[in-house]
Amino acid sequence: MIRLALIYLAIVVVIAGIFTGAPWVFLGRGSEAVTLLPDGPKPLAVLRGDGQAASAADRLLDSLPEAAGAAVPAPVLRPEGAGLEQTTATILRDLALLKAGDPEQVALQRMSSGAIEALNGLRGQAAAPVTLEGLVAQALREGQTDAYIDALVNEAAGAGRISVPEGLMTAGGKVDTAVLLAALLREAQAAARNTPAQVAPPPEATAQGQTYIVREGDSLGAIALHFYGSMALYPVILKANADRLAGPDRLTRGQELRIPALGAP
Amino acid sequence: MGLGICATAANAEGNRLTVDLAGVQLSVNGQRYDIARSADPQARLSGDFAKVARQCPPFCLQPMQALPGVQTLGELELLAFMQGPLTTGEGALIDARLPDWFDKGSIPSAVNVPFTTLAPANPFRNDILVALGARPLGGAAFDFSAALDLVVFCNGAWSDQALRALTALREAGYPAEKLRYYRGGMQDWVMLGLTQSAPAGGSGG
Repeated sequence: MIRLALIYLAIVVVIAGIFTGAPWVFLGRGSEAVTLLPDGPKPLAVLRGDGQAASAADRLLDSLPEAAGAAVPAPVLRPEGAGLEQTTATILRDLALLKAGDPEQVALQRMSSGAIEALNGLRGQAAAPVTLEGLVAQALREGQTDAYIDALVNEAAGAGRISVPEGLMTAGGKVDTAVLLAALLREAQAAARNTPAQVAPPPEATAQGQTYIVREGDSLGAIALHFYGSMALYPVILKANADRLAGPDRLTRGQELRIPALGAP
Repeated sequence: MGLGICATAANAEGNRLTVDLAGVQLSVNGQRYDIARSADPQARLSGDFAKVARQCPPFCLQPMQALPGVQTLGELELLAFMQGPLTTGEGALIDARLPDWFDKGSIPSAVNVPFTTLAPANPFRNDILVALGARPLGGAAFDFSAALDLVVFCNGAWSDQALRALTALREAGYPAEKLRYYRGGMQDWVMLGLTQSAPAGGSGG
């Protein structure tokens, strides 16, 4: 779904600036209709893609935890404070869907990728995307499916080859690519409209906030996207639950989380 | 000295590194590097490395000992490292300067890992540790026992960038015995007329 939506946005961008058009814009395979996620909070099940028909890529994904085995460590996490919004911005810049960016972050990303590629080159490893952002951007350029991207990212993260923002770790110990792709789409739409992504206030929020019971597959990013309309706001939930969450990657199924109303102290 | 084994006749004009050593050849993952010393009697420093007045801060003088347990190297020890761990795939030569400096010329076979990328503020810092050979144990924990031996340098004794890179690596858990400091950096490398990895562009002799 996201690939077609992003391709649609890419085409809009390319038409708008035809002379600087990027040569990588691929037309999607298959006959799926272009679908844009409607604005506003989504049930987490939608963000997770629950209920989608199982494809070969889904079955591949399902087989990963078993194939990975117990010897594989938990994914490498980013240093504390690494923001999810940086992740989406980096991918969208890579896809030429976003032009501007925090120059310091852009430079760090470019220098880091260059350093990793050069170090891998010492070992004779072929040039390939070396970060979460690079993997996702390349897969989107190739027109891969959501399920493929999920399998790809979780395979690389499970093998410890890429680091992952802690807010994207699910209660099941996997990388929440569904919420990442949903956020990408949101930010891409906002960028195409030339406006900052709208953070919609949660309709059900009260001054006292509310509670949420963590389910399998939830990540803090997904919960923040659901309640606040932006996964970048997950630190609000993290802070409100500091007494019961050791870290953003420590969600457990059945855990009760406080969801403070935005703007509340 | 032990370096003579790879002495090269390429520098036939007559200059040598030492009495025993004309030059050094090395091969890193199929890429060949020749390191020789300028034989041009007219060669003078020019450009960036001819400058002598640099204001501290930020251009403060650096200690001979970077950090406890981190060995400091001169040029011959660096060349021995390049022919040893670097050639066998167990080491890396790290240019800790920013890319605009690296692009103007570096030590042949050096990899640019700018000091800013090793600070915890970089979201990709842990990805770099993995690329340096640290084995991920999950989260922010790493086993460094198979990590590369590193020699870190910058522009030399008037720049703190190598020291900042070494400090960041130590704070990330990189063992001191796997780290070395080439204090002379590009300033000394260029001043000694040694081969650079890119056209000197007026910065060398």
